[in-house]
Amino acid sequence: MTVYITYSRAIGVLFLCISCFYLYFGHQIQLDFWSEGEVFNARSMPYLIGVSGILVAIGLIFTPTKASATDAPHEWQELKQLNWIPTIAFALIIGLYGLSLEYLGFIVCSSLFLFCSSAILGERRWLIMAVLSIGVVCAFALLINWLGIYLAPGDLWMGWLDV
Amino acid sequence: MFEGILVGLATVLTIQNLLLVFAGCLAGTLIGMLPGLGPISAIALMIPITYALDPASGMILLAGVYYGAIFGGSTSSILINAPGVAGTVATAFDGYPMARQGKAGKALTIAAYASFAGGTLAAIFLVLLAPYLAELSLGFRSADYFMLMVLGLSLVSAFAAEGEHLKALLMTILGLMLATVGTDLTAGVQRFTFGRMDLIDGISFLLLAMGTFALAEAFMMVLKPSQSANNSLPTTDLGLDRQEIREIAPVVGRSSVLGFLVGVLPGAGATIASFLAYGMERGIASTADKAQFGKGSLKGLAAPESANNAACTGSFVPLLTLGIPGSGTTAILLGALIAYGIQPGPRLYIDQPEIFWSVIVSMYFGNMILLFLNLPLIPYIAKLLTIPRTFLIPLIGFFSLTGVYLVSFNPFDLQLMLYIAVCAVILRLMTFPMAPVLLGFILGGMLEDNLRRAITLSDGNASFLWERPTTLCLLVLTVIALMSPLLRMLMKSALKGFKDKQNASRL
Repeated sequence: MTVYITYSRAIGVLFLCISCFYLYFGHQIQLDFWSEGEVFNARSMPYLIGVSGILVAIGLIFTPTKASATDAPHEWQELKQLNWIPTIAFALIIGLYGLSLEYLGFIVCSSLFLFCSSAILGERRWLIMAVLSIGVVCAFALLINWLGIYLAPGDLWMGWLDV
Repeated sequence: MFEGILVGLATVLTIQNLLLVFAGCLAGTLIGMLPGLGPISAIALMIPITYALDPASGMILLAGVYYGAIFGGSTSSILINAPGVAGTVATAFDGYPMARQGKAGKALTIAAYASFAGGTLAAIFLVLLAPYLAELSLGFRSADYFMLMVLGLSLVSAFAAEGEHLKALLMTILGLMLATVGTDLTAGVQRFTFGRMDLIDGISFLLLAMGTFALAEAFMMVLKPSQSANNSLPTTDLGLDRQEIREIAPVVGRSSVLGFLVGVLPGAGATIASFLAYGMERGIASTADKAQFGKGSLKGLAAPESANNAACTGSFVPLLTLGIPGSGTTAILLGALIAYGIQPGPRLYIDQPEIFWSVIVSMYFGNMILLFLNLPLIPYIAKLLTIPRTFLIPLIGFFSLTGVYLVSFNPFDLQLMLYIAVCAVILRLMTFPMAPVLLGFILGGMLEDNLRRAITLSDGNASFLWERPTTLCLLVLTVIALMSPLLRMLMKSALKGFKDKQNASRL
């Protein structure tokens, strides 16, 4: 019998590893000496979840699937046809947004995020992009300010203001 | 009681209080639409304004903000798959697919009508049953709560396609795992934080919801441009025909009753109510209807919407009659009442009937105003989807990220949200459902607390599962819910075998 590596089985194997790690780290949870003798302590729930995870993952790996010899490679082939490059670029922009938000400040960083994301997605009307990015972010910042929520201007500008 | 209702009507039917209900609903709807600002934030922001008012008017305003925020949360769930509050997660399951099919207007109309019906029916139940239900809800023990949570988790099969129940179960376990990250509040020890200070408070619900739904959806729209929201389709189709009304009316009725009863239980709330209602409706739907769930089913949208609004009203029962806040939002309302020098409890409707009854009567008016306020706005709100995708996707990303950042002001949360969104995209590409992750995460904490209490009280004995009739009933329902896919599969194969045998004997 040939075992095909389908999506489900691949995730099943991955989840089996995650459950084992979870169980291992669950066992590492530090307990007070009086908690160790308790019927239910901080480790109990992770034990239950970890064991359940292992059982369900094994179930998923060994459950007979409808996949035929042609289905399994076809599943992986579909992934190659997706629009990966702009997606990865969009993810990178989000990562950069998270890293630079406190440094550049909410308004500058968010405006840049909106502008660059639109550019990545193929928008080329630069003026509209700039007006929309700055306009949306400023309107949102005003609303947040009106609701009484403080947004720090950013370390970069704070430094300048200090000078 | 009749006298009380008249007192309530006399208090609410003044121009000032009607305007306050209107202002509360409007402010709540607008704030609730913004991811990250749910009913708790909306009410907290309004509390300083209420200090200038008398207690009854102040509570009327806050109750209006509460419903408005819940309805506003549904709007962002339907339009951009961004459930800002836990109670509107289930709304996105069918509301968002409808929006993608160009039926955003219709989805918002159904949400408005279902919310109105759920809230109104629950307000009537509240008037008639509040004192009796308060006693009943006190009879619910931790073992019953534990089994109620397990029943909620067992409904994961409602979110799985035929024959893919193990995938849903696996995702539920993933949600439970994520719920254990952070400090165990009972023991005061850190779990799965790996020494990171940022994880000491655990992962916030909003972060997970935005990561798995809104941001992951934005990624999917970039990955598969052809399947993005169909924004060229008109969204003018707002009305419901007779057939559709006939289809959703019983759903709204059933879900409202269920939502109200769940809302009455302290700690259960709108989230469990909406998930249970969704699961129940899918469970009892015909095979053809069942196939539509998750793909834009009217029933799948009406059920959680009416249940979450009914649960919001139901959560006022323990608050007003016992002084017990059943949820975070009602805890803030309790704080507001105490700030006015009012102690909610069994004597509230004897000592200060004008407050007790005016809040209850204002709920009815609040729901009505919410409906009249939102119906004319729906075509304009739905037009948001006609924004070109090159602007819409960055805006979804921006509002999701900002919503999460405004809660914690911690950039680490944005990084974590990105990782979660990437994992969610991979899992979605491999046809793993994401709703069970949220279900497991939401119920995980409550499940552990109640199991800990029940097992400690029974000294480690598992007999707490069948000692009380309520727990036993819930246990039986859970077993049925868990076994139903297996039983269905066995019945199918038995039926197939029987047919094959018949065919063979004919030959």
